[in-house]
Amino acid sequence: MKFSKRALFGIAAAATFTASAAVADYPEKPIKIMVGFSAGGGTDTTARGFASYMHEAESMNGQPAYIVNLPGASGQKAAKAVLGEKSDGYTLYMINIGTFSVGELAKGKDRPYSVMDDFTNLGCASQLVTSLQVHTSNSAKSMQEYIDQVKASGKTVTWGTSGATTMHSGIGNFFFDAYGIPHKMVPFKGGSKARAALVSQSVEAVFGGVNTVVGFEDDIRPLASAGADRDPTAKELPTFKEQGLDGVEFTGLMCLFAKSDVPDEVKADVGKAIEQISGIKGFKKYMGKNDLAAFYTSSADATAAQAAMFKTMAPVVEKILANN
Amino acid sequence: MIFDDIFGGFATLFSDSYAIWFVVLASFVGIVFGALPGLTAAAAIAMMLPILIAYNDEIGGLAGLAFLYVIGKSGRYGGSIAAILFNTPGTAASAATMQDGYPMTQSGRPGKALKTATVASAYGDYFGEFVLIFGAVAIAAFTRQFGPPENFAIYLMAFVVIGSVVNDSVVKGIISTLFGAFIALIGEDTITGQFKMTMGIDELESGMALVPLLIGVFVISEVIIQAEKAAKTSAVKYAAASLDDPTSQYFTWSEFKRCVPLMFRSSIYGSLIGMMPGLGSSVACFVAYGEEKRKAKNKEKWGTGVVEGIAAPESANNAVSGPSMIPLLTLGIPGSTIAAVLIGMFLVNGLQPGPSIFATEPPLFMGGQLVSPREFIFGIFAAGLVGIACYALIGYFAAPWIGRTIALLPTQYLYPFIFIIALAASYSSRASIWDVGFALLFGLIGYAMRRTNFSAAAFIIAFVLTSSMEEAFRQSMIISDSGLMIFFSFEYQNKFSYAPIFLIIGLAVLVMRAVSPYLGKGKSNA
Repeated sequence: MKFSKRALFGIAAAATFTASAAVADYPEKPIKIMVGFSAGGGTDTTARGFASYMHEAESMNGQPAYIVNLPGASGQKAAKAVLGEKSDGYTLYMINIGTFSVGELAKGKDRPYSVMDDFTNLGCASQLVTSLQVHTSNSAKSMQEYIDQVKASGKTVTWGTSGATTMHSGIGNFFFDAYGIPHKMVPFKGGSKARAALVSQSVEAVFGGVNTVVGFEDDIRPLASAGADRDPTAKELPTFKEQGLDGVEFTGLMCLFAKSDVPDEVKADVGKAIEQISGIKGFKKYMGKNDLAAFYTSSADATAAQAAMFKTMAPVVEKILANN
Repeated sequence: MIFDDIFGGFATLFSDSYAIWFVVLASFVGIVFGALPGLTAAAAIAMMLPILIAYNDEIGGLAGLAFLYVIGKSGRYGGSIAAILFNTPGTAASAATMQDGYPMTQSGRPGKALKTATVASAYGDYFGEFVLIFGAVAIAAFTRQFGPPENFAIYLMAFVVIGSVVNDSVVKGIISTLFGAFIALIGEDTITGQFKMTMGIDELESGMALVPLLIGVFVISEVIIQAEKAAKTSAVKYAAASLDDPTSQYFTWSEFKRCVPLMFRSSIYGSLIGMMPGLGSSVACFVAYGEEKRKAKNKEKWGTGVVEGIAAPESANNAVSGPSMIPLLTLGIPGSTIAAVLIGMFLVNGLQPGPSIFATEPPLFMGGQLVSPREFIFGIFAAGLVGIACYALIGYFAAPWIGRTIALLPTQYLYPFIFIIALAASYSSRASIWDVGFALLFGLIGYAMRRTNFSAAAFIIAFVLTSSMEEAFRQSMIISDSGLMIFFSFEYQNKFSYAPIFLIIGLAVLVMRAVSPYLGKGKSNA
C-alpha cells in the first residue's frame, strides 16, 4: 500500500491529536450518502437534491456530498452496508422512516438490525404521506361517508397498495381493522401499479402516497392523509386524525441516518446542515417540482415519530405476516 | 389532437441538446452491430445499457431512451447487410433476406440488393411507427380498464404464443419459455417479501439481473460460436469481391412501384406480428417471405435473386419495431427483448410503462427542463421517425462501404475485444463481480441453447414476463371470490372482464399451431 505525503501527514496528525479534537473539524472530506433504491425513485430524488446543496451548509465546511445507490431488499442491503462502515460520520444513509421501520418489522425474527438501536436519526428534509384513495365514481366525499358506505354494504373491501409490508399497507390494515371493516389487501409492485388498479377499478380503494394522485385527479379522489398535520403539498386534504382516527399521526419522514455510535459533533453538524438546507429556496423549488415538500424535522421529533410508528405498526405487521 | 402530440414530440426531441445527436449516433451504431455477423441489436443494447444508466443524469432520459430505441431499428436493418453480402444473417430478423439477397450479390448486383433492403426497411419501419403512434394512445385508453385478471390472461396468452410459435419445435419452445420463467422466480417474493432460491447469495436477493443475462445469452454465447468458427477455418471468405462499384447499381423506380403493394402487405404482417408479445422480426420476415412467394407470379425465380424476395422480408422485419412497443406502452408487457431492456431505462427516469404512461402530469425533470410523460413518449416516437430517416440515408449511401469494412475486420481481434467490453458492461450495471460470473454462466447456457436449437428469445422474454405474471396471478386470487374461475368469468368487482377473451385467443393459437403447421411451412422455405 502506498501513501501520499498528504495522507502520511493526516495519519500523523490524527495520531497526535485527541479523537475529539480531530472530529471537531468534521467534515474534512466529502460525505457519502447511501441510497437503498435505484436512481430515479422518490428517495433517490430527495437524496440527490439534498446532496447538491450540502456544501452550502455552514456546518459542512464547504464539503460536498455524493450519492451511492445500492438497491436491494427494500433498502436493507444499503443499510447493512452503512453498518459495515466506520462510525466516523462520512457514510450516511437516507431513507424514509416508514420504509425503514416497517421493513425491519416485516423481517420478523430475521430482522437484520434494529433501526432504533443501531442507527441514529440526524434529522429530516422531506416526507412521504400515506393517503386513503377511492375512485372518483365512488359517491363518498369524506372518510366518514366512505366508512358508512362500506359498512352499510356489508361486503368485504378489496383494496390495493404498493407492497405487502410497507408503511402504506400497515396504515391500510390499521384503518380497516380500527373500524371493524372486513377487508382483503392486494399488494402491487410499486405505487404506480397500485394506482393503475384503482384507475381500472379492479380494487375499491388504495392506500398510497399523496404524491401519486397528481395527474390522476379525474380518476382518483383522496379522502384522508396520515400525519399530525395536513400535508403541505395537499392542504385541502383533511387528516385521519381530524376525521376521528387516532394512531396514524406519523408520516414517512425522509431522514438522514448514521450509525448510532457516531461522535456527537457529527450529529450536531449534520443536524444543522439538514435544517439549513431544508430552508434553501433552490432545494424547496427542486422538491416542489418533484411533488415532494421540503421541510425540516429535528432529530428528536423524528426519533419520537419513529417510536410512534413502531408502536402502531408492530402488531399490524405481525398480523400481515401471520396471514401470509 | 394526436398531431399536436407529434409536433410536441418533435419539439421535445429538438430542444434536447443531446437527444438528436444520440439518434444519429444510434443509427450508425445499430447498422454496424446489426451487420456484424452474429451480433444483434439486443446485444448492442445490452452492452450500452449500463453506460447509459450511469450517465443518465448527464445526457438526460430522452437521449438514452431514443438511443436504445433507434438502435433497435437500425440494428434490424443492419442485419440485412451481412445477409446480402456474407450470406450469414447479421440478426435472426434478416435470415429470410439471405435467400434472394446473397444470390444477387453472387450475380454481381450487391448494390441493388442493399438499396432494395434499405428502401424496404425504411418503408416498413415508417409503416410500423405510424401504427404505433396512432394505435398506442387509443389502445392505452382501452387497456386502462384492465386489472390483474386481464393482465394474467394476457401474460398466459403471450407464454402460449411464444412457446408454440417462436421455434420449429413446440416442445423446445415451451422448454425455453419454462426455463426463463424458472430463473425469474429467484429472489424476493412479490407478495410475502421472503427470499426464494437465492442459495445464500446476497446478489440474488433482488433477483437475477437482466443485463448480465442478456449479455451472456446474446453476446458471450456469440463470442464462443465465433471462436469455434475461427478455430475451424483460418479465414472466413466473404463474397465481397464484387463490391467494386456498387454505387452504380440502383433500386429503380419501376422496381419500387412493383414492390409497393408487396411492401404494404408485408408491413401489415410485420405490424400485426410485432403487436403480439414474444413474436418478433425473425417470425415476421419468414411469414412475409413465405406469403409473398406463394402469391407471386414468378415463384420459380424466388431464391435466385429477385428484388421482391428482399423487399418482402425487409419491410416486414422493420415494421415489427414500432408495434412491438405497443404491449409495453399500453400494458407494461415487453413484446420483444429490446422492449424488455427499455423498461429498465423507463424506470430509471421515473416512468412506469403501462396505460398511464400517456398522462400529462406529473412533469418529469429532464435535461434541465420539465416534460410531461406524454411529451416524453412522443419525443421517443419523434426520435424513431428521425432515426429511420438517418439509418436509411446512411444505409443507402454507405452500406457497401460498411459491409466491406466489416469484411476486412480481423475477427481474431474483434471478438476478444467484444468479450472484454461485455464483461465490463455486466460488471458496471450493478458494480457486482457476481454479475460477471452470471454473464459467463449464461454465456455457456446460451451457447448450449443455440447449439441445440432452444430459443434464447423465448427464454429472455419469459424471464422478463414471469414475475409480473406471478404477481398478476396472485393478485387475481386475492380479488377473486371463486378461485381460478375469475379468469373464465366475464365479470369481477362488478365490472366487465376481458380475461376469457385473451385465454380464447391463446388457445386458438395453440390449436392452430397444432392442427396446421402454418408458420412452420413459412420457415421450411428457409
